[in-house]
Amino acid sequence: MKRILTITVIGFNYGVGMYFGVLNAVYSILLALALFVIFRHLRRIKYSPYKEFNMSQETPPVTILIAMHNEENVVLRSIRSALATEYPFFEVIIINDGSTDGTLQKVIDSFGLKKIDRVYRTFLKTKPVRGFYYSLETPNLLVIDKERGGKADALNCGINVSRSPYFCSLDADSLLEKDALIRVMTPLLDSSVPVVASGGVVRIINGLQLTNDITIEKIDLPDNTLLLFQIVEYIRGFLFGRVGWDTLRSLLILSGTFSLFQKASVVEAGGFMVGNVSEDMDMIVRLHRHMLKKKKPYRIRFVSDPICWTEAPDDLKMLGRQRRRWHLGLIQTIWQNKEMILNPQYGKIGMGVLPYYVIFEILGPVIEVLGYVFVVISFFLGILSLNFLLLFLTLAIFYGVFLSTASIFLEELTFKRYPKWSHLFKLLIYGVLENFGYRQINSFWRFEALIMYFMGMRKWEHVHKKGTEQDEPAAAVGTK
Amino acid sequence: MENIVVTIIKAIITGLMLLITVLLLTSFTRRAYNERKYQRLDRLRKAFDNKIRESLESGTMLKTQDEFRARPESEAWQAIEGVLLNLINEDRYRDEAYKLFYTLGYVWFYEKKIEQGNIQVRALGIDKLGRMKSEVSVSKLIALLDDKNPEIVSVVVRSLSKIGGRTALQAIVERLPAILDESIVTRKAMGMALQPFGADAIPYLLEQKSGQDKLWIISCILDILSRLPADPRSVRLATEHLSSMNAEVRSKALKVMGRAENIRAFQNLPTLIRPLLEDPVWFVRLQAIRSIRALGDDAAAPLIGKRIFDDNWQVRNEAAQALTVLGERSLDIFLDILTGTDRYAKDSICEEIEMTNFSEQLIANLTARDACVQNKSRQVLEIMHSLGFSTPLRQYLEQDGGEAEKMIIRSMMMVESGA
Repeated sequence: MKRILTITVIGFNYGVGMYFGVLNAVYSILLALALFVIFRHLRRIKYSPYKEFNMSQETPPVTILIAMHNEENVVLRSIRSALATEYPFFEVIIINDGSTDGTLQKVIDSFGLKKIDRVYRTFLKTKPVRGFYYSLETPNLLVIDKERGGKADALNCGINVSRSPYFCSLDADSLLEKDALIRVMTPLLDSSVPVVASGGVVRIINGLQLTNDITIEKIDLPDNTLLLFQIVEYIRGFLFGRVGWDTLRSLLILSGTFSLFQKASVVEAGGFMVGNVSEDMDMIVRLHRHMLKKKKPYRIRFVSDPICWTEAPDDLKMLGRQRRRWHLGLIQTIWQNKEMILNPQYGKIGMGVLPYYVIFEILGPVIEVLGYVFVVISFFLGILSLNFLLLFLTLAIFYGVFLSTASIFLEELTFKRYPKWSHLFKLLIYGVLENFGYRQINSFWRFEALIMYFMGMRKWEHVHKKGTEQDEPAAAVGTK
Repeated sequence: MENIVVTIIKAIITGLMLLITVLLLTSFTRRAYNERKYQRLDRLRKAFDNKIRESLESGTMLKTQDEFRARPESEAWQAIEGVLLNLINEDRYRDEAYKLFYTLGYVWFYEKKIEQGNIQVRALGIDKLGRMKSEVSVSKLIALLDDKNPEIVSVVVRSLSKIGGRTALQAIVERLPAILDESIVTRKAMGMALQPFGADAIPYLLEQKSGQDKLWIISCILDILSRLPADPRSVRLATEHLSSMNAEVRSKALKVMGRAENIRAFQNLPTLIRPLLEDPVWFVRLQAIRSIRALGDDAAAPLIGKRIFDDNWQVRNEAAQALTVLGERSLDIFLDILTGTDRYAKDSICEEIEMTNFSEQLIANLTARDACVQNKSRQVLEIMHSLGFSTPLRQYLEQDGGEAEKMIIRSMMMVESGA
């Protein structure tokens, strides 16, 4: 019996070694690709036609959709920032998703809106609409007041009302840089293959000093340790993760915080899925599925220069909620599209990318937790080589530090949004420190999410925005 | 076996440590170097800006221009380039800035760059020559229009359009079918690139069109013409293609015609366009409404009114919007539609009346001197109220407004609720 257990444990240990070997190899490939592509992109920006597109009357109109639920503290900032966008023709549609605070009244008062009668025609089914608010003074702003149905439902409502061929989903707590929309639109205009979705970079707004609530006056780093870890994490995730996947034409995630979609394709794919806690990833996977099934040529792009700033949770409780929700959404999305996995009809998405997500993203935390358990078992079986364990841990930590340092190096080389020397040092230090606790707690939240999924607890965990007064009872669906 | 694994892991850790150290050192040194470099560049730009402007103002540039010679790619070179690129966009310095680019060797330098193998270096060189408006480089740039790389062709087209001139224009337009056929440059990008040439581009585009039998290329040419200034030649071409078998061509032809509002020679355009309001293809009907609206063809209002019942929602919306722009002249059509049976058409009209604030005009008309306008406005408002579009009436009652109008509104609403 002991012999069988010993063989199992040794086998598992080698398996884990190989697992991390493959995972790190994938990361290294993504990093190498990102380095190459970002350098190329930076050179291209120097002669990119985006400024000419910005002046052209022929640039297609875009609707900016902002779903809101109890966002009275941030609502005006996000609307003003959206309205200040530099783009030839755009409209902003605010969808008040059953707010119980003063969100709606604040918008009506600030923009002098009047209630208007409008017939609500639906391509995509949503919860009932209670009213429309509009003013000729701000003719490109329309506010829809509807019953609570969650973020996906609110976005679907906005799609129903929107009149543009493209829409950009924007989170209520976000600040869009003025040229972000035209920059994220450029691949759609420049490409000979239809681009059905395009996403930009999301950065953390905490620490920024703003003038007029919408203009970035000074970029600073927050003092909060959790936020600093998240800043390093976002830089890594966007600058090498997404760029790398985009190069492989295998993007499965574009952040719902700031993404542009071709409306017709989204409607054909059935709109945003109500009930999925990660509506952004779900939409991208279903767009892949729809286009591949129909055998239509398409691209889903990530662009590394349009920037949208968003608020991040600054305490462990809220961060835990957010991370559990992200992982839950990932599992939900993959499960809902499971027939794509290893199905040759879906090309490399079905044969390579989805299996990767199952093995390395969904099951990653399980392997990590099992790893800790097997260390203990190995110790009791007397087969634990302390030297080997320490060596393996050192390797894992150094690799983590390497990835963080490389990402900050990429940031330094390219966009350099954090200008002070103290910023650079802080980010590098936190890139090291995140390997001692922060990453492990993240794995724990992801593991929790997996358990919650199998126990049927697939709920949207509400994350408070700064200053939000009351906690909303967790619903099956929700608006972030 | 274990020893081998341990050795491999140790080697990887050492490699990672080295890589991390290199990355850290590179980050620090690069930041320190760049900070100083950009400070120096800012200072140099400011200094050269003053000096160059002074020389240009005083007319002593011929004597002083040697002061502005610098080693290619040095900081002084970059600073002077930045200053001249700014000056070339100022009308009074344009010619001098261009001459300086040439005499100081910038044109020569970037012409060498465009002969290199690296695509980005070539594209950057091409872009710079365009921004420098280097007329002497036109022939070299034209040769690159036949390049196999789409990125290069796209930048060349843009650069040639910035430089301008007939040779550049002719070269682009001559290659237009091939460029568009191979999807090297998107139609939008080409349209925008040709815009700076203005009306000069029209004869060349028409010439290209004459030998063309591919309908979609004709559609592209019409599309580009629709973005250029209105011109009788373009309108003539458009009228020739109004009955094309291709819907895209018809639609683009309509778009060109919609820009001809100030061309007196084409007074009969509305009569040519009106039949296309019945076109079997929806986007042709949509464009027909837009063109009629742009031409201010009031007489077409009854025909646009019919499009309120169109099968396509975009056409219906466009028609509703067009009618509200016509205002009181549309009152009869509004009444026809609002007393009809098509609920969608009624809703669309009511929505547009509210969105465009035409409802306020209707309320003001309730006390108008013209009894006919007064009566029709009241009827429209009554029907709107009966259809549930009462918000403007309620809002008027709640705010400070004319008592006479308020009384009429109250009576309207009472009658309606009583009914």
